[in-house]
Formats: sequence, C-alpha cells, structure tokens
Amino acid sequence: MIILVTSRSDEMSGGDELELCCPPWMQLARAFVPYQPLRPRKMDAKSALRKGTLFPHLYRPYEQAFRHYFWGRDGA
Amino acid sequence: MNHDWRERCRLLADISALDFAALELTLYLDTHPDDRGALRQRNEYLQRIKPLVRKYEEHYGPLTMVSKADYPWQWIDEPWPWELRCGGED
Repeated sequence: MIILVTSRSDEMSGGDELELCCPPWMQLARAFVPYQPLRPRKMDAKSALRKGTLFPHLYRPYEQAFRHYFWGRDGA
Repeated sequence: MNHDWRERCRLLADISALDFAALELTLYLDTHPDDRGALRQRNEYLQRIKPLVRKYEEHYGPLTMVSKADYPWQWIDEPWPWELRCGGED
C-alpha cells in the first residue's frame, strides 16, 4: 500500500466539500488496475485450489504480518 | 473402511481442483473471449470432471442437490461433501 502525502493545490481543491471532511494533505483515492494479460501463465489445478487462483499473476500471499492491522492483537 | 475414506477424499479433492480451475478459466474468458487455448483447457477440465463425478456419485451418493439420485434419497446423509475431513494436502 502506498500512501501519498502531498498538499492539495488550488486547482485540485475547488474550495468545496473536501475541505470540510479532511485535512489539507489528503487526496481523493484513484485506482489504477492493469488489465489481465492475454494468454497468462497458469498453474496446475491442485495448486490453484490451494492458492485461490489459477493465475500466478493474481496470486497474493497474504502475509501473517498484516494480521494485527486487520483483526487486532487477539486475532479473531 | 479406511481405504474407502481415502478414496472418497481423493476423488473429491480431484473434482474440487478441476472444478475450480474450470471456473477460473470461465471467469477469465469473460474478459478474454478470444483466448482459444484457455477455452480448450476449460473444456478439457470439464471433460475430466465428468467421469470422476459419475464415479463419486455411484459410490457415495449425490454431490449436489440437483444430481441424479438413486433410491433411497441420500442427499441429506452426512457427511456433506464439504464436511469430509480429509486431512493433509488432499
């Protein structure tokens, strides 16, 4: 995750609702999602079921390190 | 009995894996309809599932509630397919 910390320029702000809700260094979120390539690599069916996707490109090893961030110290 | 469980689990694991792979390719084809290889592989997976499902249902009863079923009605019998405790990787 990348958090951009910059100031809003005058062009961006438009002097409106954003000023009311948020501190001046916050920006609206923008998502850039690349398209899945044509003819992607694939794993065998057994690995796919275990990993939750057939496509290596889409596999994310959800690391234990983020556990506490989402569920707190006690797990859940 | 023990052997029977292992065979049942092995069958179910194979079916689950092939079924999942076929589903993944199906979703992929929604956005990439011109990938002939992916389509071929999807259909191949579906072909490979068929005899496994037939074999499973012959021995252990219906896999889904819309499967063809023999007398007496067995769908409600435990364990349900997702309740099988197979252990290990498979």
